[in-house]
Amino acid sequence: MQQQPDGTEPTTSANPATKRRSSALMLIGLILVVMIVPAAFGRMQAPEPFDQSAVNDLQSSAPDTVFIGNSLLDTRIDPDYLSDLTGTTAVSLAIEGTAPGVWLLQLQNVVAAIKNPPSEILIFFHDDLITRQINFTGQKDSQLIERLTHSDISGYVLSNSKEQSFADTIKSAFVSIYPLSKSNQQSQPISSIGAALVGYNDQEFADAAESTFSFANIRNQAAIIQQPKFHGDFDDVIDDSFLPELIRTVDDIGANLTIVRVAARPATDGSPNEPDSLDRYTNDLSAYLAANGIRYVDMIGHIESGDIDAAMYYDGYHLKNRFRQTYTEFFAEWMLASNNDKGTTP
Amino acid sequence: MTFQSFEYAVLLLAVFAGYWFVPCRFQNLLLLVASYVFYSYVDPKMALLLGGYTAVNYIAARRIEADPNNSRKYLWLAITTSLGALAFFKYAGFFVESISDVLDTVGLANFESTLNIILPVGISFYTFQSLGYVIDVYKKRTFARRSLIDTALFVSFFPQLVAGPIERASALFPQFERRRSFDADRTASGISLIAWGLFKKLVIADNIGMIVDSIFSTSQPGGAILWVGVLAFGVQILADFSGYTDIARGSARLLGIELSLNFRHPWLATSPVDYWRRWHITLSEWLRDYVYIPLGGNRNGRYASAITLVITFVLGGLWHGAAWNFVLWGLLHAALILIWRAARQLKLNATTLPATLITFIVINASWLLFREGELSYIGDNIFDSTSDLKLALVLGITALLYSLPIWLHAIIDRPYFASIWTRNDVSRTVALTVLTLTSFLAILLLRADTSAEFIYFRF
Repeated sequence: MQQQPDGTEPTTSANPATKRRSSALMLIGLILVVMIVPAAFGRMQAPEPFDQSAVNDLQSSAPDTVFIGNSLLDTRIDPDYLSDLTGTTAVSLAIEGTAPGVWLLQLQNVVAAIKNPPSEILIFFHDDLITRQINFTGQKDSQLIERLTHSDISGYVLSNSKEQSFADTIKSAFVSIYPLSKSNQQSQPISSIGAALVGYNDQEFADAAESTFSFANIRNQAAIIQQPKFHGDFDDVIDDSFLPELIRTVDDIGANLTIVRVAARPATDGSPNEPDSLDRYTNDLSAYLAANGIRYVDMIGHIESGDIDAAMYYDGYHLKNRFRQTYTEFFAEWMLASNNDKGTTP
Repeated sequence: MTFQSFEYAVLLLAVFAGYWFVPCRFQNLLLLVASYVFYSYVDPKMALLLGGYTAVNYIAARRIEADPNNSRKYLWLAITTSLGALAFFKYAGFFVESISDVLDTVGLANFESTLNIILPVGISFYTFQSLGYVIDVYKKRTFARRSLIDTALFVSFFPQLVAGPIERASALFPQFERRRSFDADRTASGISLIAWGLFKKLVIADNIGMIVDSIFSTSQPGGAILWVGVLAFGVQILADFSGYTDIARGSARLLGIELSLNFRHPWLATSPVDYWRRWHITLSEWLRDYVYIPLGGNRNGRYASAITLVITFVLGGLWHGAAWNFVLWGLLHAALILIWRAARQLKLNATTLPATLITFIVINASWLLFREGELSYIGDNIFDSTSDLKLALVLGITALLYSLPIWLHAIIDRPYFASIWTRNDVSRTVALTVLTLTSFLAILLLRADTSAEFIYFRF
């Protein structure tokens, strides 16, 4: 008997047409079951409520200065140390992997919600992230968006309506068909079982992991140089970006806004890792912010002056933990100086 | 374009839809276009390299057949050109750096390598596959194909282009040359295979990968946590590579093409030799047929055979990457096989279960050299007793829990169970539906936060 290419013997059927028909029906059945059954799960899942504790915590801190950004901010600024150095109260709202959409929600729903808003707000970004129409630089966390959003506020709609690509539209449709995918537990169930088996609760396990794998214990990866990313000319992206809304929101709060662009790890010869396209972009961004009365700080100058060198970097963008305080001191000096002389760069 | 990306799903669906509607004579052309789109997606320049490989091997194979008196010359032309390109892209930087280190050590010179050569994805795989074809024509195991489209497709067929399986001409060409018609059974099994492969990649490999990366990114994890990292990497690399292969085989199956089996439950291996009959089978067989046997194989006595084995495994290690840790990894596996041979001669045979357990532990431990390129890091940590033992235990149990579906698969794939679910069309469809549905639900619920590139894409 002749074998099928997949190694199986062809089944002996009296009527090949009947066999083909039943095979086709079973294929359709398989596809329907696989497509329909998962869609039935997770439909009743309630959205995460707004996290009022974020507002309460910030309120109790009574900050003079608020820093907003992602892990690039977190590896550069130690807010407690900065507070000691400047004699003001600084709070960092850095959340790893976040982008302007989330930062806008933090401004609208957390910073603006406290009784005595800060007088200074600084937003840290890299490359051209400040005008990218995204909420996250990596994996999206819809639950974070929900925790930062009141159900009756337009911020959530705004932050999502900015994502217009075909792929994103398809992905959104996929999530609405399969709400289960939204409740991605990020591997916690399995590690939780592992932790429970040795008598840890989730928090104890998280603390132990944090202690061993903290940023301070990470190996040097000095060889890594990432190519800075650029996603289009400034004039083409500004209108659809969150930046105008960020500026308006800070204006409504009544604070001064400072936009800080951190530099990518310099090249091996110490020169800035900055392609021409990004150079043009930053010039346009700088002009736009100046026209709107916003202070702009570009840390690339410190690569050129040699104050920040490649050895201070852990990877293409993040600083090594031991240079966090150095950078904070750097920044504190500038903040103190800039109170007297507006426009000085750190 | 990776298999877990949205772009790949679109490409595969578009090709699948078009493939079964175009006339048969255009099917290969459609696959060829899709393959070049797939390969050019990141960098179109790389398609030129693929075209170059096709041209060289097409011409060499045709000339070998047409001009038997000069066939050896054309064979060497193909070998030197293909391996030359591979050496340039993959090994030039490594050799320059190694020479620099040696010269620096003896105080003769000190220079920093400025070579910055981009490694074309999949070059190791398609170099071996196309070379195998030319060698087979030379050895008269197959004949030179007249169709340039078929030859180009053989070199570039997108499901197996970037990480195998490394196919033989005698297996793949006949499938491209025969008439293919839609088969619902084959399509159903292709869908299941893709779902199972995606589950292994997105749920097992990517989640375990986060643990492994955390451990190997830590400057001093300590011995216990490092060994947990090695164990976890063993799970990760199997799930990652076999997951990739399942997606490749499933994708090809949707198009009526059957690719070779690359994994046969390697964790059930009862010896190092048995392991290499189960792990990355197409590479093992390629090295056996085109390196080990031509160099003498088992024909020239025990010592010559041992030397040939060591050479083959060192080349196998180097095939994975231009780094000394891969050379050591190859040497270690050669040593394991030689020790096993010696043990057999001394009649030190273990029964199946202990043999499987010993092989599992030894093979998994060997991944340390594969995963970690910095030997001083291994030395500093391997016997370090400062690990948080409780944390090591949690991570170890987590890794084992993630490995359960692979063990379960190894069990239900045994003949007794397989005979149940392949008893008739209905039982087979139910089994495939359950597998696909479970995989899909698990992906929705348990997939990792971020999906890393397939490990073997970098080779």
